Amino acid sequence: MPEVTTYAKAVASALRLLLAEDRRVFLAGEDIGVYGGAFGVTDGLVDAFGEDRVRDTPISEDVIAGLAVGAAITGMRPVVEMQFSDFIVNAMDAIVNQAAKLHFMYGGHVEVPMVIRAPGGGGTGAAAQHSQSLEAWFAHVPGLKVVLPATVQDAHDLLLASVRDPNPVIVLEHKLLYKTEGPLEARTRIEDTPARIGEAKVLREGTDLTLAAYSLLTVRALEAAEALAEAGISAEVIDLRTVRPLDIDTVRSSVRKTGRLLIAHEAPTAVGVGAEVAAGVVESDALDYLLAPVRRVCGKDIPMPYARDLERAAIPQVEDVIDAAKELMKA
Amino acid sequence: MSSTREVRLPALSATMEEATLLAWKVSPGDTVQEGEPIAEVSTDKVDMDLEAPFPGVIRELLVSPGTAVPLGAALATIETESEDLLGGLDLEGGAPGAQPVEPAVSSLESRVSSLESRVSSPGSGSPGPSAAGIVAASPPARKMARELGIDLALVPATGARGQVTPSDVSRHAASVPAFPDAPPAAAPAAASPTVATPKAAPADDAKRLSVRRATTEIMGRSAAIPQFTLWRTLVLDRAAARRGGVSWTTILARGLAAALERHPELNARWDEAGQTVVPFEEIRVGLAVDRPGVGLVVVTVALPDDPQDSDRAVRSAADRAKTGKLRPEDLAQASITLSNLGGLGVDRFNALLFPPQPAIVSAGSIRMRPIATGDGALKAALTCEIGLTVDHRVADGADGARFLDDFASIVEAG
Repeated sequence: MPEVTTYAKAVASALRLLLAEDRRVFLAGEDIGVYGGAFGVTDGLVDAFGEDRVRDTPISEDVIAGLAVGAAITGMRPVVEMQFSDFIVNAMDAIVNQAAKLHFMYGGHVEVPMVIRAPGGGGTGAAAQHSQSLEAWFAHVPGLKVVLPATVQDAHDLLLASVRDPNPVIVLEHKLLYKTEGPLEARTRIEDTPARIGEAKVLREGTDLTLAAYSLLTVRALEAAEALAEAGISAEVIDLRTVRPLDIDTVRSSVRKTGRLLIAHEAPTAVGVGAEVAAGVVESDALDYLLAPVRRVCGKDIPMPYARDLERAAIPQVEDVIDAAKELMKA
Repeated sequence: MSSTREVRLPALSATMEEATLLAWKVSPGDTVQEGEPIAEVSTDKVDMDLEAPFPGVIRELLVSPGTAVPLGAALATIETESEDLLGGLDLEGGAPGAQPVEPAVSSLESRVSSLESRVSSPGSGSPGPSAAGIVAASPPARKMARELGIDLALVPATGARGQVTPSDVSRHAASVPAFPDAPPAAAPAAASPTVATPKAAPADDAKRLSVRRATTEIMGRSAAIPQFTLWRTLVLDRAAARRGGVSWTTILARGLAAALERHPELNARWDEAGQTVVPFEEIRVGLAVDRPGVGLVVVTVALPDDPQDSDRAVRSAADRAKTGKLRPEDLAQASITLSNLGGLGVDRFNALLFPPQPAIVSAGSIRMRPIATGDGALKAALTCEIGLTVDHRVADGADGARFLDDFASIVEAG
């Protein structure tokens, strides 16, 4: 029976299962041991599994990513945490030039089974250096997979699927989602996870327009769809779940049915994942089913403001999704 | 590496199950380019060219002209360098139109994509009308259909992905009447009253039916428009002396274009969504033509400055309409249409609007009739009764009257 729990606890229970079942798995990150992690995700794990397997590191993201690459290519399954996804920029060489490339540069003889978890997104008043949504950076690098769970169940299942993957996966959790509650069917074995990287999910069926989103905006799109239904508009909500590889076929199938596409994400509009989704649709025969131009409702193209009201205006809210959907229906 | 591949009969419309091969346009040994017409086929809806789906050399023609062939049947073989990307996909019994063709990937690319090997994506849907009934059409085709008031579901699709293309819309528009008043419209004076048609009668019945259905749809929309008609008698003695062999149809069409120049308020359409009047970018005059055995067709005529050039353009456009060989420019959105039933002895008739055009002009017979002169005497004069029907949302009666007055002056002056 599924229990109701939080997104953060769903991640924690996945980590617990990974540490218990697979001796190759270990965790590393800043303040993840005694302190339990900046968002409490790893609370208690060091007591259960010891300091060798839940390792506090120096304040150096470069070291964290570098040790993950080295451990991974020598047979371990590191699951490392970046305290804020913004800090990943300190570790770009290890991630982009090493982790993403080694499998190819060694002709397939090397695998790099590492997972980087990192909280991203704004809405917490943490300002421009602690609120970014950097998924498009990583999605642009061949060799990296980028996963963004939106639901409690996916926070658990997609993390398990990421650790099962033989090459590097970036899992971007959303700070505002950690405390959200939902049903969780905790897996008892890692391989029981039904989640597959690169598989989107239709969370709500509809006939008038397709709402494609991921992470926090999936949750907001579902709320928007509820309000739109009351206004007589039937929205189909697709949770992309992973943005690289991108399950564009699910979006295309939906667009063939609804004829309208609204893409929603928190990351800035320009050169974002939404552009890739839109291109993937118009590059296919789904183009011929579009009854209106594709539309995006995304973050503003500015560094995240600190002031609460400005921050709110910079991130798509539920009402922004509703308004964009209504305008799309008129187009 | 070259290989011999079959050209099969594609689905040219959603309802098509078979087609009749009318004629081959190529012979064995001919080199053809992709998209080049190789045969003419007749479906339940229209006659159309069958295009070579890939380049190569025609090897064998497998079907004789006059034969009815089922969807997906092999018609010819072509020796080609192009790969069979459909992999022998069986079109027979499949959804109309071809499946989307995935680009071939190089081995390097496929090795890279093996990184994403655990990606299991749901299968993509097939082209053709989707579950919600959206007709697959390229964006310009959808726009064109909207402007011409054509229901895409009625248009046979020939696009590579099974989508309706702009030329499909043109072709379909050429086969439907743009016009309410059912009896044949008089063609330009020079056109012969009866045109022998080589096509078999059953095909024409089907076309005629499709014309009736389209008329029903268009007139349903016309009936919802508040419209009024103004009448005026033209005296054409002076114009007759000056016309120099130019057909009356051409003279009236030129008169309409010239009058619209002076009355931009009538060169516009009502935009229902925006609740506003939207001007047309150009002045174009449509001409109602009776296609023998099929029904009414409206062609947009080019009207060069020189009257003789205009006359030639009008006659050739009318000929194209009568034979169903319209060009895309014949289907440009007109702002006003001329329907001339005078050649069939009709004295006057009330034409109904063809949306989105804001006006339509009917012309009765041009013949000698008694008129009263200024001093109260009677005399015989060459006259014609004109009816101007106007969309009341776009303009008022007085606007129409002023337009008609200028039109009369222009035409009567010759």
